[in-house]
Amino acid sequence: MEPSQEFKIVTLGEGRVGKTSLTLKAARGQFHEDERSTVNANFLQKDITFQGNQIRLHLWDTAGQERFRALAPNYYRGAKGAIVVYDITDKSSFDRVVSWVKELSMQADKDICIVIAGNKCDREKERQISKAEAMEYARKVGVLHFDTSAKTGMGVEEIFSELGRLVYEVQMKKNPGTGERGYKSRKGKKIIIKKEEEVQKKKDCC
Amino acid sequence: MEPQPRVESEQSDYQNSEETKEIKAARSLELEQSLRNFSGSTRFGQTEIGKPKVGFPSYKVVVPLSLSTSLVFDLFKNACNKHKFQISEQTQSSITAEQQPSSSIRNLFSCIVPISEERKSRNTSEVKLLIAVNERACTRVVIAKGSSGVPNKILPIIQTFRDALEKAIMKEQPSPLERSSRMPSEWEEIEPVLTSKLESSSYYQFSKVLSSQQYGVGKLVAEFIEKFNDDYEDLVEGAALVPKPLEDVKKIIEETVEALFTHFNLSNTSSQKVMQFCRPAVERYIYSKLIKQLLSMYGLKYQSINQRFQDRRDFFHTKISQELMQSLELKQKYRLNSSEPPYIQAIETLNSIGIQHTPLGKINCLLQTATLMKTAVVDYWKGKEELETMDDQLPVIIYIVSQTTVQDLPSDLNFLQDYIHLGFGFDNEQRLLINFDGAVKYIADEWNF
Repeated sequence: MEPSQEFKIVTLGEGRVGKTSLTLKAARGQFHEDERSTVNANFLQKDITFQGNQIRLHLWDTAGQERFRALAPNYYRGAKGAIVVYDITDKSSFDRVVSWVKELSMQADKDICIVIAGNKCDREKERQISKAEAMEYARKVGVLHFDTSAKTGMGVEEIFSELGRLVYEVQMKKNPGTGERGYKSRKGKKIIIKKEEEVQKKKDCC
Repeated sequence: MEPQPRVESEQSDYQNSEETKEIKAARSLELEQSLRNFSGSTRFGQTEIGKPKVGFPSYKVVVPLSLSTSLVFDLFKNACNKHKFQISEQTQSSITAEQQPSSSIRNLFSCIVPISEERKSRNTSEVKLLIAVNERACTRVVIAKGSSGVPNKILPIIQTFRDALEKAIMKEQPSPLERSSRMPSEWEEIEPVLTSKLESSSYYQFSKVLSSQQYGVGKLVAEFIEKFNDDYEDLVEGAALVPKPLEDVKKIIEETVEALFTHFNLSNTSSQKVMQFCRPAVERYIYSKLIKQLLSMYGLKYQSINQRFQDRRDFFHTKISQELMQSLELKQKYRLNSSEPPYIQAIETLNSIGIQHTPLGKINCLLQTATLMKTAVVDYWKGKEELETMDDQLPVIIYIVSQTTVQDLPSDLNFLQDYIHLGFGFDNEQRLLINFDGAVKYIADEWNF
């Protein structure tokens, strides 16, 4: 089925926090400890369904090293959603989240939707950022926070579904009438496009 | 399609925690307030989420290029006529049709009472047809959608249009009986997968038509090329107008493809095989005449970064590979320390971008470079290692770009960016282009060796 909406989603975060693993897990359900995979991580997509609409997320991976920071706007330009990833076992990666969120809010598209992923939750014992601290920050800046593990799959489906939903709603609010299937009339009733013959058949019956 | 139930993970209790619920509740409250007050946007998109507004019916379908724009337009116009919608606007790729509300006491009242034009227009039902060409897939994307008024009035038009279009698509495709009865004739060879003989001969066939003044389409192209050369004789002026020259070229390509599909004898089975190469062949023919001029304009526009890139690259050419990789902090396993220079095939392929005469040729060159870059790693490590994450890939791309000898790479990449932006269906290629463009910028302005 052709997706009715397609959005660019960018993953940001310090190097080695698991951005690629997270997108690979979401798109193909794969996780590779040694980073070897059977798919091309450069061109990943994730399809989700929301309110009967097929939505395709184009997942853009980025380089997270500080030295390439100046190139980041090239990647998030035109993105409708961003997942800012940090590693829960690395305090410094969370500090970078703060600066990414700040940068996105100042330089990215005005209506970009941001979510934060605390990745590598399968290594709970090594946690350096408390859940409370992360949640408090997310609450402060008005974004959602998810605990994720690309290894176990925990929270991966949720974060992409939620971000897709947020982006879809924001874009629908901005550009109403762009959905392709499963429409709602003013009264919220779903209208299904029927073939002309079916309509004729019904008329004949009456 | 019914909405899928949300996947709940046993371990994701955190997502359902009180704090998350608190955020969601706070955001809903903010949203309601913003909807009530119609206030301006807030910093983060999430706080702007609203209840779904009125949704209008729409229909999207991908059709073969052989289904001409004029035919699709005719089908849409017929549907509009049938449901008493009038065409209010038509461009080369879109049609807008509308239906004024029927006479009523209310409408009469609205004529007397001063009501804003915007409010009046809300009563008018409007439906739009948009056609775009997916240049990469050589297909046409047709979208019909309502944009204002009463959804229930728009729906029948879209239904009628969809049915008519589906019939037209069915007509284009040979029936299973026709397919099975069609045996290759004596002269018709089965095209081997490894060579592109059919593509080459198709290109020749189209070139014959396009270069011949006796065909209307050949004349059209010749006149365009002459006009283009006159209009952009002054390259400096042309550079200031960029990307307009490129838009002009793309427009004539669309017109030429349209004309060829309309006038060629498509019922002939051998024509059908040739026609699949129509668009690439037309593009190749026209760009081969104009690419030098176009690239010169881009070269002038991006003169400054071309120079900075050139200077820095000349400097990096004086350094040895391992030094550069060290400076880029490439992981040891990606430095490929062997007798031949690392990533040499990828570098040589990128060098060949300069001799490509079409944007598609140049884009394929970048794709090939990226593939060879990754292949070099799996080959070196006998499949045990892979260059996968962007954290690892970008430094290698920068290294490869720093080793090229191709002239004016920054302006060439800008030309390709414009080509992709003006086109449709190049999402993946755009990602790749951004990596190379980022590498160029890093070399020109950021890399402190």
